[in-house]
Amino acid sequence: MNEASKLKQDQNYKYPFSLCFLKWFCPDHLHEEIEGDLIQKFHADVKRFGERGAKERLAWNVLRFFRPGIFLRNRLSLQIIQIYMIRNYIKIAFRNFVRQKSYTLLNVAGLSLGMAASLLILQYVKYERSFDTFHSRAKDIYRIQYNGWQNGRLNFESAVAVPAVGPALKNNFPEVEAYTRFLPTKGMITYERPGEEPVTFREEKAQYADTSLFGVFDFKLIHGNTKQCLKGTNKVIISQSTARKYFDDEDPIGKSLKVNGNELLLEVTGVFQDVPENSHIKFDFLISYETINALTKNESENSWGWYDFYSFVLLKPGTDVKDLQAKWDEYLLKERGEDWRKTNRKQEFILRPLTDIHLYSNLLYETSPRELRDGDSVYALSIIAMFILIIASVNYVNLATARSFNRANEVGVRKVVGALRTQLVNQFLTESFILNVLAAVLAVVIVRIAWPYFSELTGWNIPISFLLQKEFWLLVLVLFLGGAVLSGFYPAIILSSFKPVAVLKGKIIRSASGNFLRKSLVVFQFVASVFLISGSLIVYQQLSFMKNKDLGISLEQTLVLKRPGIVDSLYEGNYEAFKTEVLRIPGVQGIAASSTIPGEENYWTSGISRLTGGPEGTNIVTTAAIDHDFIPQYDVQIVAGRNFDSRFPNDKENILINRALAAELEFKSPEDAVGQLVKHWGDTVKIVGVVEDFHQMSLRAKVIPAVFHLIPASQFYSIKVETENYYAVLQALEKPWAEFFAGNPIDYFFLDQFFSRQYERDDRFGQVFTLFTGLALFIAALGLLGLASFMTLQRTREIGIRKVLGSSVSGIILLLSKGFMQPVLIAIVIACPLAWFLMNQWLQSFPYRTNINLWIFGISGLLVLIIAFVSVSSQAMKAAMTKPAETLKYE
Amino acid sequence: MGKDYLGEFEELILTMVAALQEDAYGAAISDEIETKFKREVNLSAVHVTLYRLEDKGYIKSRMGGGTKERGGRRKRIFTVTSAGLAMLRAMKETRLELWKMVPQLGLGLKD
Repeated sequence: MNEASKLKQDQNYKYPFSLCFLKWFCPDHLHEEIEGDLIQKFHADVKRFGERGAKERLAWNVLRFFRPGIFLRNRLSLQIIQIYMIRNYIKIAFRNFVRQKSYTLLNVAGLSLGMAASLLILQYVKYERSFDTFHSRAKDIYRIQYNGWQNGRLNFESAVAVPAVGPALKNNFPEVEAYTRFLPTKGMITYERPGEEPVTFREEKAQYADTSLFGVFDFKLIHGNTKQCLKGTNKVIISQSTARKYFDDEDPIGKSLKVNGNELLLEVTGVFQDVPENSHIKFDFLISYETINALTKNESENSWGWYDFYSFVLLKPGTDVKDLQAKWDEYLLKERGEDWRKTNRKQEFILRPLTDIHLYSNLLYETSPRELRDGDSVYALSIIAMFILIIASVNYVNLATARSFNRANEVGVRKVVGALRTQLVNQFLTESFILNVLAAVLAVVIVRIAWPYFSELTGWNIPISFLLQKEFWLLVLVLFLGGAVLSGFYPAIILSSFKPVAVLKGKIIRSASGNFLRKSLVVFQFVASVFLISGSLIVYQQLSFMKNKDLGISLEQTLVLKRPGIVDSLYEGNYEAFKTEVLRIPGVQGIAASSTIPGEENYWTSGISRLTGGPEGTNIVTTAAIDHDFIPQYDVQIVAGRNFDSRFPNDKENILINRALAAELEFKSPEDAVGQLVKHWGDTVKIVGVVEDFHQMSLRAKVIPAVFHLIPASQFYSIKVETENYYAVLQALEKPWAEFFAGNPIDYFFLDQFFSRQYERDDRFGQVFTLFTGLALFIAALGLLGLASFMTLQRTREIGIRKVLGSSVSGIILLLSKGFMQPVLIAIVIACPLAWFLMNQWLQSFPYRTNINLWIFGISGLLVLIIAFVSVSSQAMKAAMTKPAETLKYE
Repeated sequence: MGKDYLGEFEELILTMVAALQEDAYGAAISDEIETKFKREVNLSAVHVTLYRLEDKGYIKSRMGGGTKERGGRRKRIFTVTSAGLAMLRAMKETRLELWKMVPQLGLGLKD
């Protein structure tokens, strides 16, 4: 009795943690005795080494039980025979690889290139799709798109809305939790460190922002209080890197920043983490919204007309957006209908999901239009990735089945000896597994090495850390398993189905269906190739069309200076003096000032209407300030009337318009418009001239109606330089600049480069498209090469006999090539109309587009034919050149 | 094709099982080897070898009783099967055969 209770007590004794580990891995039926032995040993050790030493020894002993002989015992139902078979499969697979090195090489190269390409593309696509998703409530955030209607016609679709919509939504709809607005601004910002030279930078990425910002978005504030930092006037919060730029190691909180000289004095109340790369809206400065309210007498709070505000709303989770939109439209009509009728206008404010902006939004006045992507192109790239992967897999399938002839004997003998069909299937699956493992490893290596070059080529600044996330390895696994199973299964089934008697009797197994399948797969590969080639040619054609089309304005040899940020009352006079100085520099042809330049989106809009006749209501037009020299220097054609002229002193009350506006205002011809009076900016002004439409922006955008005012000395100074010697002119410019605009950094760029930056994204897309097209073509050619080499090998004897009977080398090459040219030709016939149709769809998205030339299909078809012919005939040539005696002597 | 020879360690364990009779279980065997031969053995190696010998059919096992020093856990007692005994005997005979073939060099060394 006593003994039993003592035993019980002992069972409850707390043994060290290491025994739990034992329990975890040890099979149940072994656990008790092993644990018993270990405890026995433990007690013996306590006596010899003390408690501590014994515990260490116990832990070590437990660890040593963690061996396959223990934890695998009766766990896996792998019986000895299967283990031996797996070993055998692997051995045979490697023997086969070594025996046919070129075949293995071909397969691994194709598969790994295919995998690497699709990994790169899929990661890229993932990155593009990740935009703005880092906000915890990204799905509930909507941006308000503003559609302006005039006379029943859609005038513009803009990313910026009027400031009154946010509050109106929040106050009238319980579904709206919060709203927040951004008003973009830029300027010269100065920090005056006591006792040192002031630091000044031109800042482009600043916004006036509502306090509610941190309730809607997940931007992280490092210093400061999210609720307080943007309260009150003249407060600013800055990004971490900006803080470093201005303040080095100083604590920025409480410091003062000056905007444009003494225009504004801002107090730094917070520092936020730099806005992530994958945010569509980017900013370095956020200025409290009350600052702009104070400056505009609350215009920026209540206006229904001023549209420069990026407005976001946060909806309650599960809100039916369509329903809300309908109610909102109704509300707008009730509240605003009166106003609209007066001006014959209509305003639409549409809720658009935040996460769609990066890929699917292409409105007027997007925050950073050059960073936006075209969702369809990104989607097209993932299709290319699939194509490449399929092409690579098809190679494997084709080569494996084509070789079935060579391995038929092996299969026959194995079956006779007693191999089960499943074992044969396993054998072939093992081979495809091993090949795919090799390919996957190689693909990862390729991706890792290619990533920096690839990032540079594509301009996708995607950090490598983004690449090597968990999902990446998951993707590798999926590609590998998918590839192994898909490419391994079909050959495995085909090969294992051979009848041993037929095979060993020497009957040639060449199933017509197998042949047909192989040919269709080749057709598919080349349809994809031809499609990709003609696609990239059309992309290039459209790009060069856009770049070479006459813009109606001359951008060459123009150097642009940004006007000084900090100026005083003498500015206009200073500009005139500067101008005179500049014109003296040898090589300078002219200088003109304007509020906007080609390539810079013109945000300045205003309303215009005819005094008599014309359309009802007011037309919204873009507005530009130019001086006398702008039109002649930029080589803009005057269609009717005249340019601004210094001989007419009251030209400041006159305007120029472009041809598009003349049509919009329903003048019968440009000539009719000259001399007419219009209402603009609340004044009555006279149209003195009509200029030809020119492209303010790239050819992706339509020419919009525009008004030109005579205002000297505005934002940009365009200097036409005669010689190619920009450098000397630039140096010569520095002296007068320093003389008249002291304290301002000189900021210049070349107009043609500036303008063509708009095509950067298209160029890059073209390059990427071409790169992967090349890759797809290369992999397809590899496959064809492999296929051709095996086919000719099979027909060695036939070729020998033909030669003996007097066939010529060229005759044999022709004979062998014919079989391969047929599927390629079929592919061309299928691919051309397909490419024509799909690329035409793509072209529809451009307002100015090229016509698809038929020669593009000729070229792509010919290119594919040549590549196919070269890869096939190289093999055929080898076979045809072999002496018949060598091939026939074994008969 | 089956392995009908034993490794050195396997032979040692098999002999110990035969020798210890009713007291042949993992910890006892490893203790016995350590005290008798002054040879460090690893407990897990002993266990794995015992299981392997059982797989090969040279020994069989049943569960025995628990004791205090084992925290109440039962032992697994191993006994030699007739195949095991035959194996031991065969090995002993081969050893002897081999030993006889060795020239008795010890005598020659004397002069």
